[in-house]
Amino acid sequence: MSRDAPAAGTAGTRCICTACPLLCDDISLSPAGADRACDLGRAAFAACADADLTRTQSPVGNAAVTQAAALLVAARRVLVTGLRDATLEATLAACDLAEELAAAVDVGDPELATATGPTTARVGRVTAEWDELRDRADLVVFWNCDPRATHPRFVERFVLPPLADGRRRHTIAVGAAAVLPPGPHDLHVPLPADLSVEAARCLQLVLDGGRLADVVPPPLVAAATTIATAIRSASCVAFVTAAGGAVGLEGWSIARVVGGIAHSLPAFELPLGGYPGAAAVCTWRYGAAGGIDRADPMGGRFLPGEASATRLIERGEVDAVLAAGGLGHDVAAALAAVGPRLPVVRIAASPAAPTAHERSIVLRCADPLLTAGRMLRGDGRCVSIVPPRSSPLPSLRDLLVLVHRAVSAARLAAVGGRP
Amino acid sequence: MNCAGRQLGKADGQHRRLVLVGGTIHDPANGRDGVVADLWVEDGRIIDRPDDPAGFARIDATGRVVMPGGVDLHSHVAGPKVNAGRRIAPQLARGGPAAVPTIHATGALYAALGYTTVFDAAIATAAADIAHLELADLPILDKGIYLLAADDADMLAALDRDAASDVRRLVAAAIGAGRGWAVKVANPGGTAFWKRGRRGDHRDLDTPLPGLKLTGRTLLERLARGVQAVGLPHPLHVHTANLGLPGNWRTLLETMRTLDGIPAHLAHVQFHSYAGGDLDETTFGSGVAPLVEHFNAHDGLTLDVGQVLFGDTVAMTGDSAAAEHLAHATGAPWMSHDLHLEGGCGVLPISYREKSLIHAWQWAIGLEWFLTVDDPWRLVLSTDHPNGAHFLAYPLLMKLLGDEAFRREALARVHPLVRKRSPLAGISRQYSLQELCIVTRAAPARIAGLAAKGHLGPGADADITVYRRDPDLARMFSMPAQVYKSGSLVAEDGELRATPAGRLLAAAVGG
Repeated sequence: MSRDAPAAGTAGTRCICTACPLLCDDISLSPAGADRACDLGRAAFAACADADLTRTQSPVGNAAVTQAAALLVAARRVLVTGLRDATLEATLAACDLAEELAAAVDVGDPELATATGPTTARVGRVTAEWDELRDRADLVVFWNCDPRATHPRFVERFVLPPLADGRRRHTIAVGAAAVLPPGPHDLHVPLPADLSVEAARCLQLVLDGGRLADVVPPPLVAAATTIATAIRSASCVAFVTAAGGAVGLEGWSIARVVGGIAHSLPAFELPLGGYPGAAAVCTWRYGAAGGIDRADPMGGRFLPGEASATRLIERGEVDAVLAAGGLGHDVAAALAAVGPRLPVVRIAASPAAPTAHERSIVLRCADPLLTAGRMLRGDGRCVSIVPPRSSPLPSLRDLLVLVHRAVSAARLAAVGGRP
Repeated sequence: MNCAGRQLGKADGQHRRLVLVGGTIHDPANGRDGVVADLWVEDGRIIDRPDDPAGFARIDATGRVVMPGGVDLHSHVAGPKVNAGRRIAPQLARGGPAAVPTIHATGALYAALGYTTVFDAAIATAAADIAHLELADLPILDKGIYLLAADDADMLAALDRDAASDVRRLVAAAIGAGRGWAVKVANPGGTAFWKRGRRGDHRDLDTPLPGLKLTGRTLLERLARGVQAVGLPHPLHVHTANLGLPGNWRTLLETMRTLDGIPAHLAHVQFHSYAGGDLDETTFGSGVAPLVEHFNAHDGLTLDVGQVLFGDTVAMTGDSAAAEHLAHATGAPWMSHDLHLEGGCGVLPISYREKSLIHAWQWAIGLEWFLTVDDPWRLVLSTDHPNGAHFLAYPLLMKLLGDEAFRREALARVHPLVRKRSPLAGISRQYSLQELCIVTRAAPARIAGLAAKGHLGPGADADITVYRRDPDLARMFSMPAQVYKSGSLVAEDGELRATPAGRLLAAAVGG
């Protein structure tokens, strides 16, 4: 792209916003901006346009790819991580490379960082696609979750539209913030986050017909009673939970509550986590969504907690990292804390500062907004991304394939073959 | 077993032209029952003996049993529900093959077992894209998917209007867009009930779906005719209502009657053949006899059994109501995911135990089906992997069918009420090698509509399994001496020799 090319797509180009896991597919991109996009989306489109102009000055060279491959081949134990906003095709390419390197793989899924194992395996989880909430749920419970920050248009697209019969659905926001202004249809039940587990257990007890002990604090009794009353008069209930709250004891407690309700009326939980694509690919490749000790297509050893990216980095159990695409905050922090001691190959549209040290190799790829491929929406639905225009930079997938080829050549050369 | 896989050159045993010399051929589709003959292969296909046999690599198969590669007509190997199965039971991935293997291991293990074709029997149309992406990672085997097109809102509306042309158009569109091989219906209309929390209303095939005039019965009939009219290779694949419930044999019988005269395939009939009532476990029993009587008399129907074998596994189904019922009954961690307007999936771990009355009945009922159906060409060996058991248990099932003494020993270990009440004790039938070949290869290929598979005649895909003869059928069928896929040696004595990609089997529709 030349410097004087338009910063955005052609007038009214319909496109998909990849700035958050909602993958909004109703965005109209024009020189005036991204119509219908939220603040997050508009910022992403603007940043993408600005960055493209500067990136053309530093295209990815073969030397950098070869250098990255040499770094990975020289390591004894590589960690492949990131892939938060990667296409499924890019994730597959990363897995191919991980298998060549016999690397550990962890995409930084918070649930897999828990040593006790995923909630799904312990108590199951009753979930649904977001459209099911929009079409069926007449009661939505935001459980310690405010989608406005992480999934800005979730409420607009799935909660505010009326039900099929024209009714306005009821909502209850349990937690510090009111998601919708309190009113006849929207309740706010203030509850400190550290009482979330207790509140969930109280709610389960009330729903099961039990009596709360006298020692239970009155706010918990009131919260449990209010929510239980609303659930009993609903015909379909959706619990919206946050990524951070979907793990550990809180996630366990809510999954139990929803599973219990679902035995008597339609109910499901919508955990608003990140992009689930990398977790899906890792699961069919290695049998688990992350915490993979060694990328083995016959089934990696699944070590939740033990083999999470942050722990491997913190304990010094890896001597090189391939960080491709979006990084989780915890992984980025762990890399920043280790600093130049750990060589990093960073492939991303906007490489994060913590990995840009003298022992890191940075390969810049196209912005996810300008990358064709398939991604999974936060609820698991497969969405084809057709970018509004092409990028002058290679895609994340293409760069991973290039690095893989260079790694294969370097390994072949190392055993006396000709690359 | 070493399943890492490697591509081999001619020097390692891969040949464009080869002849298997002196094997004992079981090729039921071509009337060969243990005939000693040579088998000629060129460019991935079986050919007649060439005029000039020079240049064909000779591979000695003397004394070995040669069959077409196995065809699994009904399995669950890809897509979101299978991925959920991998995540819900990580404990079943330790100390041996996982209950739900990785996609690569699935291909490798099937191939090493002598199977060369597999179908995933339940993919929601909305999940077809990601299922195909996953299946591209499944090596060696040719593979296809059945689409759960009956849960689509437009399809339900067309069926409700009895608009045959719209049904045909929607079937063709779903198959075309989802690159499917067949259409499956899982619990006809059941999802519509379940999503509205009205499970109790859905006890028979004649209750109208919420908001519609359509019933389960009319849905089945109209959809089966629509699939027939489109001309798909495989007829409507039917998982009928009330799976797993006591007394559900009546539902299956009514399903058979509804489909009288229309081609249809009945899936995992074992799970639909139970007598008994809701409230007393001891009334649970077999409803197979009247079902087999009807089935034997109506040759438009085919079936797969969905045998239960004892051990730990993971249940997964597009019939969310059935999974919910099982979760409620067992208290197991239950994973359920609704797809927008298009069904959903339910997944949970399950352990089948010999001493459990219900599980022992399920085991006996499946075997009763195998042993009382007259025509093996209309019956397919399956465990509904992984629902009834892992596909790696197929050799054990083949031994149960082919070795009466072994079956009696097994029957002696199960719950005493089943030993006493099941008709199994009085059945002496043993499957021959030819019959085992029919139910694992020839029949599933024919029923699936795979003209080039399941046989060893000229023009067939050179998917060939070579076994060492062994009186222990489980041992014989668990480790073939050689397995060829499209003429390439892919496995030898349990060792993987090559991992070619395998082909996608997608039905051609609309020209």
